Amino acid sequence: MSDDKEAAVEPQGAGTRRNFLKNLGLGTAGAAAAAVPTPSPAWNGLSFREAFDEFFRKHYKKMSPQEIERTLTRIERRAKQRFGVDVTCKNTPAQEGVVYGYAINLGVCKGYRDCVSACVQENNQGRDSQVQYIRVLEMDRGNMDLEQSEHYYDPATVPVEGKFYLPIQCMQCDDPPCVKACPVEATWTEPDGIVVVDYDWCIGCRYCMTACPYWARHFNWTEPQLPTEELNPDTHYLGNRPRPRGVVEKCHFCIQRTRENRQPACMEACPTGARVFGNLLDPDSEIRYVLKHKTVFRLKEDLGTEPKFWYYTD
Amino acid sequence: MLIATGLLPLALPAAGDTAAAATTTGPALPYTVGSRVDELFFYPCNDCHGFMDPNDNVRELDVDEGHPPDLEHGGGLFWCFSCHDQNNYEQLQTPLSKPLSLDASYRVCNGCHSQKFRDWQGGAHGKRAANWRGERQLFSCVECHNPHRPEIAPRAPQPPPPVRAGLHHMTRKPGSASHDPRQPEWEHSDVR
Repeated sequence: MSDDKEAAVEPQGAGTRRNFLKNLGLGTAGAAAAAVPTPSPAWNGLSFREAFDEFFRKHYKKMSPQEIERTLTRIERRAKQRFGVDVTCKNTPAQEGVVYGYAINLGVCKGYRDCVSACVQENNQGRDSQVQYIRVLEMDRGNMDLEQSEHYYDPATVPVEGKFYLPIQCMQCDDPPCVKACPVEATWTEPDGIVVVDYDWCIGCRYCMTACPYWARHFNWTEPQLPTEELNPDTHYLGNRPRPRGVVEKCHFCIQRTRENRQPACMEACPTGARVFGNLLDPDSEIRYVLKHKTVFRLKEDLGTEPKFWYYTD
Repeated sequence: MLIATGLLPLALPAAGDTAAAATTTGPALPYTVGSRVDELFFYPCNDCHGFMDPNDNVRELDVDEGHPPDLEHGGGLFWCFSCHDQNNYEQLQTPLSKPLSLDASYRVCNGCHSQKFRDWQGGAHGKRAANWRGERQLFSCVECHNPHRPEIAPRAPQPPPPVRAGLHHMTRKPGSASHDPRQPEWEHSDVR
C-alpha cells in the first residue's frame, strides 16, 4: 500500500501514512494512559483496532472469518461517517452449484437506458461520474462494427429508425484476461463465475482495463457524489459497498442481489424484458432455454475469453 | 405444468386446456401468471353488456374512454369477437372458440403467436416478475402489449452518460461524405 492509496481512502488528508504513524504514537500513549477503547477523532472515528486492521489489512481470500467480520463492521462504520446512513455490508457466499449466465434479446432492446440508471442507483455510483457499468451502444442496422457505435445518443425518442441497441457490460469471462493482468491479485473469479474486485486491495494501476476487450472496467477518478437519500444501504463486500477513490470497478452481476436469488438491478429495471439471467448449470433455467432454442452469439468470441454473456434475437 | 392464479369460476374449460398447452409445448418451465382482472376499469363487463345484445357488424364504435376506440391489431382483419367471447363478455375465446378467462389472455395470443408463446414460456421473451430463482411468475403479454394496439410506442431514453470534465465526445456526422460516419473534424481541413 502506498501513500497515495491511503490518501485516496481518506481524501481529507487525515489518513496519510505520516498522520497514521503520528496518531499511532499518540493513540498508543493515550490508550496506555486511560485504557479506554472508545473511538477518538485521532482514528477518524475508528477504534484503534479498526485503524490497525485497516492499515495492516490482508487480502480478502486470506482473511479469517473473524477478520472479515471486523472488516465489514469497519466498512459500515466508515459509511455511516461518510454518508450518515446505516449501511449493511454483507459477505454472502456463492451458492452451491450455480454459475451465472446472462443473455440479452437484441430484438426487443429499445435503448431506453433504464438498465443504466438502475445500475447507477443500485451500485452507488456518482451521479456525475462517467463510471457506468453498462453502456448501451447505438448501432446501424446490418452493421456489427463496435467502432462505429454511438453510446452518447440522445434523440427525443428511441428506438430510432434504422438503428439497433447493444448494451455492453462485464461479460464475466470464464478465462478473464483482466484477472491475469492484475499484478496484485486484487481481482479474481468467484465460484459462481462472477469476476470481482477487492477494492481495498486494488492499487489502481489499470492494467486490467487495458487487458479487458469489452470496456467493462472503469476507473473511479473521484469519490462518488450522490444524494444521501439515494444511497443504497444494501451492500456486499465484493459488490456495491462504498469504494475508495482511485480503484477499478466493474459490473459484478449485482452480487448483493443475485446471491440472494434476486434479479440483477438492470434486469429488474428493463421494461422490455430483454434481459435473461440464470444458472448455467441448471438445465431447467431460462438462460439454458435461450442457449438451447435461440441463435445466440457472443461479442469478440474469437479472443477466446469465454464470456458468459450472450446476445440473441427473437 | 401451468398454474394460472386467479382464474375466474366462469372459465372452467381453461383448467383442462392449460395442462394440454403445457404438454404440447415440450418441457416448459413451471410458471404462474398474475391476475389482472382487478385492474380493469370497466369490470365486471356484464354490468352493461349483460343488458345489450351482441352486435357482430363491423362498425365505428362510439365508446367511453377506456374501451378501445380503434383496433389496430391485425391490420383490420379482426373484430371484437376475434378474441372476446360474444356469449359472455367476461371471457375471451381462442381462435377455435374455446372460452378462456380474462386472466388467461396469453393463451388467446398463443392462437396466432405460438412461436412467441413458446419463447415466453421458456423465458426467452417477456419478463419475469421477481427473482431469478424460486417461484417463476411471468408478466402476461398484455402487461406490456396493449392487445388492441400491440406495438409499443417509442419513448424518451434516460440521459446519456456524462463525459469527463474537459473532454467532449466524438459524435457522428450525419452529413459526412465519407463512408465513415464518425469522420473527425481535422480531416476536413483545407490546409495541405
